[in-house]
Amino acid sequence: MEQKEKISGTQVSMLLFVVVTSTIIIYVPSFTASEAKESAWLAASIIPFAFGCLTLWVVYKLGSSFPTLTIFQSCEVIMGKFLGKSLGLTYVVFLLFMDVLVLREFSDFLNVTTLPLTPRIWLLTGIVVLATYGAYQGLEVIARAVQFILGIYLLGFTIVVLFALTNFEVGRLLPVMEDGLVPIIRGSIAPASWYGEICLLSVLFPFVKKPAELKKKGLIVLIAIALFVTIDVVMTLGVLGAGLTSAYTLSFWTLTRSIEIGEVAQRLESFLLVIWISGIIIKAAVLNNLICLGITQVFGRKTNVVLGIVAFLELFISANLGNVLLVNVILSSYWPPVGIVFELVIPTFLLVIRGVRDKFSSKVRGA
Amino acid sequence: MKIKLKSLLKRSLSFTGKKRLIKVGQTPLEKHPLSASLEQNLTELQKIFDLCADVVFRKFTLNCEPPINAVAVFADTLIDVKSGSETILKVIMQETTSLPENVRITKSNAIQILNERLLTAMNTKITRDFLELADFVLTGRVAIVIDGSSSVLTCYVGGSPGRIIEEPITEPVVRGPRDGFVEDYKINLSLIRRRIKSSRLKVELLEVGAISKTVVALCYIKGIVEDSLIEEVKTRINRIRMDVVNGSGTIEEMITDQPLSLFPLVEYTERPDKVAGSLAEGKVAIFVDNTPMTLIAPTTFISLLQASEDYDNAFIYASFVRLIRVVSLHIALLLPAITVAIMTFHQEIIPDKLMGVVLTSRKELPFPIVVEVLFMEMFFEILREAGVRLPRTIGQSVSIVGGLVIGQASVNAGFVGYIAVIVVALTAVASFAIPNYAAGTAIRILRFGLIILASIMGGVGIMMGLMFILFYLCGVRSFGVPYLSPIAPLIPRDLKDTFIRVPWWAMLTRPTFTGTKELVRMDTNQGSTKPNKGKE
Amino acid sequence: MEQKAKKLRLFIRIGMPFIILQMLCIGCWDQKHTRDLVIITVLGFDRITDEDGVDKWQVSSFVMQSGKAEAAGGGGGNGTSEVKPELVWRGKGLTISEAILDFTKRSPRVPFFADTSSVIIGERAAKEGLLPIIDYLNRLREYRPGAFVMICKGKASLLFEAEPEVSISVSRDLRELARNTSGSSGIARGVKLMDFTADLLSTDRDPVAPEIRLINPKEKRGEELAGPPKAVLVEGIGIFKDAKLVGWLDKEDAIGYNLLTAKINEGAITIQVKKDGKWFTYLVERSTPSLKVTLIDDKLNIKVGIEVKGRIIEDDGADLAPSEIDQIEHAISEQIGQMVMHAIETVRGDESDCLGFSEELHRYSPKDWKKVKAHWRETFLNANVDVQVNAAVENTGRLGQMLELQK
Repeated sequence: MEQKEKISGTQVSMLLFVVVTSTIIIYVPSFTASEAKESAWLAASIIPFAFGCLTLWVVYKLGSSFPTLTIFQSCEVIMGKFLGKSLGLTYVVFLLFMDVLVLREFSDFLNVTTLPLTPRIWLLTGIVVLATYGAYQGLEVIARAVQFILGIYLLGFTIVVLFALTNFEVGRLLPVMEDGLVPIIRGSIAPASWYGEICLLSVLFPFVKKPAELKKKGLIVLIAIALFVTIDVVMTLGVLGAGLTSAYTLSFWTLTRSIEIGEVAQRLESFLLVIWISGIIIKAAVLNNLICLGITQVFGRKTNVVLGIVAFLELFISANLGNVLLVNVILSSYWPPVGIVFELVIPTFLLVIRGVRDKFSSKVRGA
Repeated sequence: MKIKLKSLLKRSLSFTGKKRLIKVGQTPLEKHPLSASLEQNLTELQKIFDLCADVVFRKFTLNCEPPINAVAVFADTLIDVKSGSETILKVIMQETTSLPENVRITKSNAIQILNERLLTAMNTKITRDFLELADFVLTGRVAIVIDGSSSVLTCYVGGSPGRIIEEPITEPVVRGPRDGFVEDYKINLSLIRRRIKSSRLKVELLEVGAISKTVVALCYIKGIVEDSLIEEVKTRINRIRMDVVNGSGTIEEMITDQPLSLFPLVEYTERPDKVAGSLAEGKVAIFVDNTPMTLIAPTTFISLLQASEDYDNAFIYASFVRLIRVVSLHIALLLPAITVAIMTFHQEIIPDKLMGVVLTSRKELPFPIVVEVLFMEMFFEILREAGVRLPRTIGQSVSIVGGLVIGQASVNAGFVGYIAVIVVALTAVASFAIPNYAAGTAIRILRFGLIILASIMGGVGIMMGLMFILFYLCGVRSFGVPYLSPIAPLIPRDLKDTFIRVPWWAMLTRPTFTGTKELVRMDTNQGSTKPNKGKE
Repeated sequence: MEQKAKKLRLFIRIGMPFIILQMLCIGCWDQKHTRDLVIITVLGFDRITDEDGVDKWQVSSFVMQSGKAEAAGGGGGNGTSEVKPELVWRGKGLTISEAILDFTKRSPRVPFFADTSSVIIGERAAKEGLLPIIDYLNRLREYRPGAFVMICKGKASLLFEAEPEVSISVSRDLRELARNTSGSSGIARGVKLMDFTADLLSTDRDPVAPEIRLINPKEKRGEELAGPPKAVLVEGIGIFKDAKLVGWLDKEDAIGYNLLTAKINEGAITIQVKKDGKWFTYLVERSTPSLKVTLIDDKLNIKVGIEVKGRIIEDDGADLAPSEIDQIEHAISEQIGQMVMHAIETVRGDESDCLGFSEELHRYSPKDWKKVKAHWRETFLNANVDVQVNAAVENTGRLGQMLELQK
């Protein structure tokens, strides 16, 4: 967790890809389909992509003006000590909650699909221990793990998609934009907040070897994510239809279960389980690492103790968050706006303040 | 945390590590020069070699006027007695007459004349110190102590009896060279030197072990290998302070990066072609005297899947075999765990036609499948261990009795089900397809852990275990090289020799982590050119 | 202070393994062994009025008999085993779960639905409570979206008296019948639970499900019956209006329905055509339907085009000369057109919209759909339907003309 850790631009982009897609893959089809019906794939791709690009731009600008500082530190530089520290702290809390939601998605998913009787707390303990271990090993290690996993991750997804193609019907995607743009925009809020997770770049920025290439690579990641999500949603819609997609909370899971090609290729859900768990553990580990980094930078505490505290906090909050339905509601309705605020609005705000101050100070200097 | 764990382990073994090793039976280090008197020297030497029955003191007289007394001191178990008598004693005692008239042997110049004019031994050294003398005698030299001279002439007269070069037993090949390393490091070095006839191949000798004084030879190709790597290896080897070094395993454990690692972070082999290949990739070979197992550092996870035969076989076949090995690696690691997970958690994965068979076969079995699989795995490990330790002929009957009779009988008697037997057998076969024995052991141990995890949380447990292993492996480095490279961190250029092997004409560069100093291996465009194309 | 921190660290270091060990010891919450499973292969749902006059659910099921399922196939040793490969269990209850519990309580094991390959819904249940059934099935953790839904006339529970005829168990008989009939004979259509649910939820289409019935094969070999006394047959289609069973399509109509709604690639649907007083048989190999639904002045125009390709596999002396083929094709087209039209009329008679006409309108002309959405059913009833069949005879098998006696 020291600053000397360096990861390459490619590693960062792979990391962000897995971080963003691992949660999207399960939840987005049903969230978007419940609002935008047959046009869900539009809702999941275009507007969120634009949002992601905007976030990337803002975060990149912010990062390149403070290339050695994470957002926790640059807050302090821009806003002054007290305000900056408190803003940094809110960011830490934001990440903490993101992490908690990720953990809950994990445990809820498993509770609903494969391990109904296993107490949630044990599932959570399992993943928290793993994520803490990953975070302890450091960003570099997580980045490497992502590179190792990405191949399997994409392979699993491709297999599922290819086999699902046999049940695919283009007609189920019609009509396009039946009720105009409004439902699409409403449906795109949730995915947008997920695309916006690319704002983690603002924390990762000082760790990247050549920050200049992040602009291009970030864009490539966004395009890759958009492709991935679009394929995900299109497949789910085309196989299950809009009605079923919105009826199931875990529609991509149902899609994988529906694959039956003779006696040979059926019951492939374990593939999905594998890729999904690996992705989500990576995500939890990254968030864990970044939270600890944030706490270390805001409070200046020693790392290993922080790791323990964070692990305990996560476990405590996520275990007491309420039932599956509540988490689903939070994920689909309450979280996206919060996410958008932290992903786009605050960085933009910081950027503006910095711009104003720069102008002001240059004027002062000029005068 | 890791270091703390190590210290905890040490403490639990009641070994604090604070005490310095007391060098047992070693004479003080300061110089202990010889005197000019043969009598005194002899007494001193006899004191040193007291009760060393293998050290012989052969008294003789130099054939000159006036005759000079001399003693040859040697360990008769370490030298070739015949050539010793031919090259040393014969010339000293008989052929002094062949010297020119003007050369006269006196007490003062005897050593010089012997060395320069008489002795036909190839390797001679002169010493004036008892300690050095003792070392020389114990490394197979004949020391000639001459009356009136305070220096001693020693000459090497060839080898103690050793094994001849044979086909390596642990790494047999179908196609490829059949010579394997032997115990004598000199012969081993010769096998390497024969393959790399360049002065850039450097050999550095180090001595490890206060009592055993084992020779450790560091071998690398200068200009290819990173200087920092050599330095690192040297420091680590020089750091070793212990009494007896018995084999390369000791050295391996002392210089490895992660003391508690399951996976081998230093590779060992008994194939010279493999060592030569590794040297060309910018790695360092560590020869340890008295063991055929040569260490190669650094190593990566992928090298565990590479067999030296891959480079001799046609590349398509070699790639195919590599893929097979990857598959068998997964089977060896995961199959029992997956079986347990499916049979106890994810029964929906079993196709319904198979379900009937499964139900039938598992209906009357007394134990849950976890117990069965663990039991059978344990049984197989015992069988394997018994087979390895026993003489080969008996080993076969053990495997027949164990594998066929007990396996069949336990199924028929209803102790275990067919599924467990099939799975364990498959796993066993697959684990033998991994070329690297050390990696095989790591996988065997991890397999048990995964079986237990699978019995707690099914597939999720397996996945968690795998992620833990992944996080661990991603953090491990072997002499600065990430263990999972070139996959993580991903270096696309280096993927040419991992899951597949590209043809030799495409192996244009050395691996990035060890060979950046001289990256290019060969000219490009050698592959597709046909020999006659240019002439016409 | 330092000492304390050290102690704490030591505690954590020793404590963590213990916690994990604890997890190992009390773990295995979801572990269930295969022998502890009640593997339910077929579920049958009925609405019944119990003796006390209360409407209840009755659920019947086939349960895979451990040890006997493969006895017939996998060398049971004793030759013909007397035990049925599948048990039949029935239960009653106010809710579906209660009904299922009513029979699973007879065994200490856990019901397991992942191998439930078919779901049979009785007539009354299909009319009164289709939605709860489908909801229940979709909520089940282990349910397979690929399970087949079937409807039967009368009570579903009666079907559970059947015995396997072709395969070794009724469940497999059922599944294979459902999977293959739409292609092989066209007399029914296997509908997966997933598609059934999708159609049920969709605003555009009403679901259908194949009809399953009990038959009594009477073929005898010597004195004994050559097969089981009761077996199952999948023939015909039950059609729904919203979530209610409203009518049935018989064998002929089912063929029409299949040709109208499904693209058939490797079919073997035989159609008997009469020409010049002689019957010959046409085998449909490939067929592609195309729909065009337009709205002109609030009047619905439905144009159905069907491209059929096949061959003649039997002719009763009908002239198959190349010059005559046109006429033959015309006769075939006519015949298929009639079948399709009849199917459409039957469906319309039941006010069901399982043919996908509204789906077509919704997908390709959403604006028109909005106009008629509110009173779709009436619009549909008054629609002009035009069926155009274009049948082509690809070949006549290995023979040209009918075999002729040259004596």
